[in-house]
Amino acid sequence: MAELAPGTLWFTIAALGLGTYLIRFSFLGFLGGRTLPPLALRLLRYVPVAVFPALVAPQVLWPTATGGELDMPRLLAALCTLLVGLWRRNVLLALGAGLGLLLVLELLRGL
Amino acid sequence: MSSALSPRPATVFWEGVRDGTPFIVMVGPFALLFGVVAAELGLSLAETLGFSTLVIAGAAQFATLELLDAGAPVSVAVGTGLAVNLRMALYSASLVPYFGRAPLRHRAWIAYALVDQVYALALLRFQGREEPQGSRLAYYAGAAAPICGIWILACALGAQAQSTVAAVPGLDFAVPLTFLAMVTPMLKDRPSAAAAMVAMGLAILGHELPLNSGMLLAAAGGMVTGAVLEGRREAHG
Repeated sequence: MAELAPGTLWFTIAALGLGTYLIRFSFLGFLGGRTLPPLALRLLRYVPVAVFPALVAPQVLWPTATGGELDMPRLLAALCTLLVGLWRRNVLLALGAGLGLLLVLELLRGL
Repeated sequence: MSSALSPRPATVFWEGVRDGTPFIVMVGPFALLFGVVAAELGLSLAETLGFSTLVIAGAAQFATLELLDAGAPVSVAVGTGLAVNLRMALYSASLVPYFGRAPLRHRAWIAYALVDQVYALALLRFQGREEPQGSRLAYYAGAAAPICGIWILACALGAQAQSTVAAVPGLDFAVPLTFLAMVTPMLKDRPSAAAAMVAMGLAILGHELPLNSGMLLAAAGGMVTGAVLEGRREAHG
């Protein structure tokens, strides 16, 4: 760790914690019981199906573990999770299939 | 549904616990790793626990710590961490239809526990299901308890155990796979599928944009796509 002035780390933790809480509290806290306009409600229905794929796609193509290099086992595991999920509509089954495939491929690579 | 017929909150709470508990397997290793990295960088147990209890956001904690370690100014480290967490404002807004009328003291703890996996579990349950607010609160609390609990606990364990944590191959990829698995049951109509595809495409195109802005623009693009297609479908009957 680079040299930090005393208290800097706690200041960082507190600032990040407070800022993150305010982000989470934002709409839920300050809008409260106000009824949102229909257009906003329609947009908000697509938050999970837009945010999660946007989070995942770059990590699938450029995984941190391989230093950002495209990695065939990880790509296949992601495809497997997606396909099993779409097929069976079961979160844990999809995740188990993807993680299991990745574990097997990683073990095979180690041989 | 009349409230006389709805299940007791305690029952619903345990349904939430049941649904949240399997995610210990995915969240736990990520949290252990944070504890290990923090300890190796010289953070005390109290400082590591400060991160995991006050921030509870894996990616942002890692990003902030890495930047501090690289000697970046505190403002840059905090700003980057907050940018990584900005997506949670969208989570917050999308919970307004379910919890907006709950008393402030409830909204305060809901916001505290609003991590990715808890949010996804809540939406998987709430979308298309009518139930009283008490049931929703109980379910959310039940789902959050194991997920937030293991995050805090495993960060501390990682800080204590340091590098003795066994590296199971592929576990680094558990978090992206979790997000993928959680989104698939929600892709049940054409606007949702299109929203997901547009968001993925834009995120790939914009992955080198600074401060996580590519991800946020991609999410916005996906949301607009879904809303426009839904509107068009309604207009055409």
